[in-house]
Amino acid sequence: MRIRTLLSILALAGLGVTAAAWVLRAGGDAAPAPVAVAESFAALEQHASDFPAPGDAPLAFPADHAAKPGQFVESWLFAGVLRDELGARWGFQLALQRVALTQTAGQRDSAWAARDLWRARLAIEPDGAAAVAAERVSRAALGLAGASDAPLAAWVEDWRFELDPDGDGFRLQGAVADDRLDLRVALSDEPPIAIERAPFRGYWWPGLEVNGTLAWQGRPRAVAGRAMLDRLWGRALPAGRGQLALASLWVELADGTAARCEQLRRRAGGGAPLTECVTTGAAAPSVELTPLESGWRTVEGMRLPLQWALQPGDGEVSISVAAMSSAGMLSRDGSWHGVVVPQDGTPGWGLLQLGNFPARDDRAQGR
Amino acid sequence: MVMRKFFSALALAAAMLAGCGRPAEAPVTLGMPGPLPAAEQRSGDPALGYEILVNRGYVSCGVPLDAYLAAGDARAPDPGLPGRLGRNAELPYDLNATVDANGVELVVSNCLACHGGRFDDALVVGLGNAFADFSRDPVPAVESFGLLVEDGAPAVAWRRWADRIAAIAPYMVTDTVGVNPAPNLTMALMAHRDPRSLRWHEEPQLAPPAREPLPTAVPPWWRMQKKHAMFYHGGGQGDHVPYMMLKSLVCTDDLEEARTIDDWFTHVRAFIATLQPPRWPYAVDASLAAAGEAVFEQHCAACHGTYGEDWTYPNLVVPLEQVGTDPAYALQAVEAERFIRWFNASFYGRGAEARPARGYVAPPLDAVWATAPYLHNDSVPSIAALLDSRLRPTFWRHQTEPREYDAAALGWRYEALEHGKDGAADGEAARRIYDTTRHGYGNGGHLFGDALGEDERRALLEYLKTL
Repeated sequence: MRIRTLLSILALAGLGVTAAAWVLRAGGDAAPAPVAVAESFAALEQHASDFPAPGDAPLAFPADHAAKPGQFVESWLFAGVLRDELGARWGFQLALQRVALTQTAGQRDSAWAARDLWRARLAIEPDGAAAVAAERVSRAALGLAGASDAPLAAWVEDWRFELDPDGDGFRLQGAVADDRLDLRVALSDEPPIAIERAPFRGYWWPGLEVNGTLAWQGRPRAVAGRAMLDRLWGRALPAGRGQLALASLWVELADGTAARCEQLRRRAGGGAPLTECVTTGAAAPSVELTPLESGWRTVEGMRLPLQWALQPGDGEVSISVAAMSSAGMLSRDGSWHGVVVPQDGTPGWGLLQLGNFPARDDRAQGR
Repeated sequence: MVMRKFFSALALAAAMLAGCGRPAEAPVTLGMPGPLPAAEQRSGDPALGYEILVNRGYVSCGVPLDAYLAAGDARAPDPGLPGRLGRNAELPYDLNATVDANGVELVVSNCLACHGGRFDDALVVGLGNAFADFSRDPVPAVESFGLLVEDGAPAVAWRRWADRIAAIAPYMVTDTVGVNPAPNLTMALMAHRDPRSLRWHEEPQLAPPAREPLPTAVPPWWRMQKKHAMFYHGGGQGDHVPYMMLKSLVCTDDLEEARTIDDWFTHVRAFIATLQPPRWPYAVDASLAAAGEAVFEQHCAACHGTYGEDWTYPNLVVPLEQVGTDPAYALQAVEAERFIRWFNASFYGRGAEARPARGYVAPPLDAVWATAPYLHNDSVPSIAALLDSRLRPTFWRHQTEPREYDAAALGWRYEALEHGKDGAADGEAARRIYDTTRHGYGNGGHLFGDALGEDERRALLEYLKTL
C-alpha cells in the first residue's frame, strides 16, 4: 500500500477540520450533526483534490505575500510580543484564512454570491491576564472579506493587513470592542524559511520588528517588539483530526535562534509523537518537543498542555515555554492559540497552537 | 510511506527455534551439520489453503478499512492473483480484508507481502520479494493513519495495531532496501508475549534482539516440498505449520485464535507444497545445457541434489567452515537460546523441531534463476557472480528504473559501485547500496564455482536455466 507522507496526510486532515468548521459554523453557533460533519469532510476533501498542487516555484516576493486565488486554501498568520512604554508585555495574533468554495468564478446574479469563505482570528494577550480574542467568518462578497493585489492586502471586515507600497513591511489593523491594534511589521533582510510539504507550501518569516499602537480598554499606548509571519497555501493546511491532535509551536529567542515545530500525538495518550521542526541558524536538528506534566490546564472544559519543552537533538540546552496570558484563545472549532514565553526568563517568545486535543470527557473515555 | 512495509514484516523464514511444547527450562538442543531428518507433515486441502492465504485475516490487526480508503492507496488489485473474494478483490495483492471482534472492517497484511515477487512484471506467488523496502521506520505512517480513524471501535482497532508495530519497529528496520528482517522481527514479538497464553506485554519479557536486523533473503515457496527444514541454518524441522503461521504473532493474543490459524495453516502448508517452480521464459541452448548438467552433477549435485523426474535432494547442512558464507545469521540463531526456549514452551513448539545448526543448508535449486540475489543474505546479485567470485561486487545496487532481468548473468541488473554507504550522496542513496563489508552482509564463501573453467561455468549457467 502506498501511504502518503506524514504531513501530506496531516494536511489533508487539516482541510477537513478547518474548512468544514468554517462552512458549518458560518450560519450560527449550533453544533452540526456528526453525520453532516463527516459528509462535509468527505465532500471538501474531494473538492480540494480538484485544485492544483501548490507547485515548486522558488519563493518570490512580494508576489507570494499576495492571495493565490487558484489555490484551495491559504493562510496568513501574524503573531508577536510587544512592550509598551511602561514595560508591560502584550502578545498578539492576527490570522486570516481563505478557503475556496468553487474552482471557477462563474457569473452569479446575487451580490451575496461568493467563491471564497474567509475566517479570521484576532487576539490581544496581556501578560498574566485574560486575553481578548474574537473570530470572524465571512464571505468574499460585497467587500465583507477578500484580498487585493493593489494594494496588496487581505481583510475580514475591518481586520486587515496591507503591504507597504515599498514592500518593506505590513500594516496590521484590528479591534475587538475597545481593544485595538494598529501595528507595522517590518520585514527583515534575512530571507524567510521555506516550508515545502506536498499538499501545501509557504514560508515562515521570524525575527521581524514591530511597532505601533495598542489600545487596551480604550486607552492607546505605543508598543514595540518582535513578530513573525507564517504563510501557507495549497490543497490543505495542517491540523489534527481523528485520533491525533496537532501541536504547533513557534519559538524565537533574543539571540536570533528560532524553531517552528509541528507535532502529531494521540489524543488518548500513548504512541510515538511525530515531530517535524525547522530551525534557523545551524542545520535543522532533530528536536524533541514534549508537553510538561505540570503544564496541563483546563480551559473551558478542555484539558490542554500549555507548557512545552524543546530539546534540540544536538544536546544543546532545552528551553521550556508556557502560555503568557492566563487562558489564551479557544476557537469555536476547539483549537487553542496563545503566545508563549520562556519559563526561565530567557528573552524570547513564541506561539502555541493546539488542535483536536480532547475535551475532558473524551479523555475520560479513552477516545 | 511507501508504507506497506509496516504490514509486511513477518516472513516465514523467521524463527530458529526448536521444541515440542516442552518446559522453558528444558535444555536446548542444537542441530549438527549433515543430513536433516524428514518429518511427516499434517495433511490439508491445497485449494482451501490458497483461499485462506489470499482472503483471510491470519494477521488479525491492521488499519480500519475506512481509514485505509481515506488514505488513498493508489495501487490496484493485481489481476494476476485469482481467487480473491469479497473485499479482498478490491485490495492490492499483499493485503487481505478481515473483520475484528467489534465488527470493524480491517485491512491487514498477508504472506505475499514478502512471498509474492514479480518476474517480468507478473506476480509470482511464492517468489521472495527481493525489492521490498524495510529500510524505513514504519511508525510515522502507522501513527499518521490515526488522523483518518474515527472514535469508538475503529480507534480501538487502530491503537492496537499501531502499538504492536511501534513495539517491534526498532527491530525491523534494515539498513538496505531488498533484504528481509523477519527473523529479528519474530524474536522481538516473542520478547513481548507470554509463550503459554500468548498474552501481549507492553514491555518485553525477554531481552529483545539486536536493533540491527541481519539481512535475509526470502526463499521461494516451491522449494518447501523438498525441504525437511524451513530455514537456512537447518532450523524449522518437524511440523512446518507453526513456523509458517508465525506472522500472526503480531496480533494473535490468545490460544483460541492461534488454534484457528493453526488449522488454517495446515491447508496453507498443503497449498505451498503443491507450488511448482516457474519455467525459464526465454530460449535455452539445449546442447550447452546438457554439458552444464554434467558439470552440475560432478560439482554441485552432492549438496544441491539432482533434478528431473527422478529428482533427489539430500537436505544437507554444510558446516560454516566448509561453505564459508557469512556466518552471522547461523551464529545468531544458535546463540539465541532464550528465543528457542520461548518457542519450545509455546503453543507453536508442540510439533516443531527447529535445531538450528552452525552451518547452512544447500537449498534445492528449482527455478533458481528467478530467485536473485543469492546466498542467504542476498549478497551476490547474480548466479554468474556466485559461480565466479571475482565478479562479486563489494558495493552494488539494483537498477530499478526500470527493473531489468539479465538473462545472461541470471539476476536483476545491477551497478557495481566504488564506494559503500559511507560514500553515498545522501541517506536515500545509501539505503539502496548493498555494502558487503557490513556485519552480516558479507559475500564471501561458496567458492566452488571458482574451480571451474570458463566453459564449464557457461554451460552450468545454461543448465541452471532449465531447473
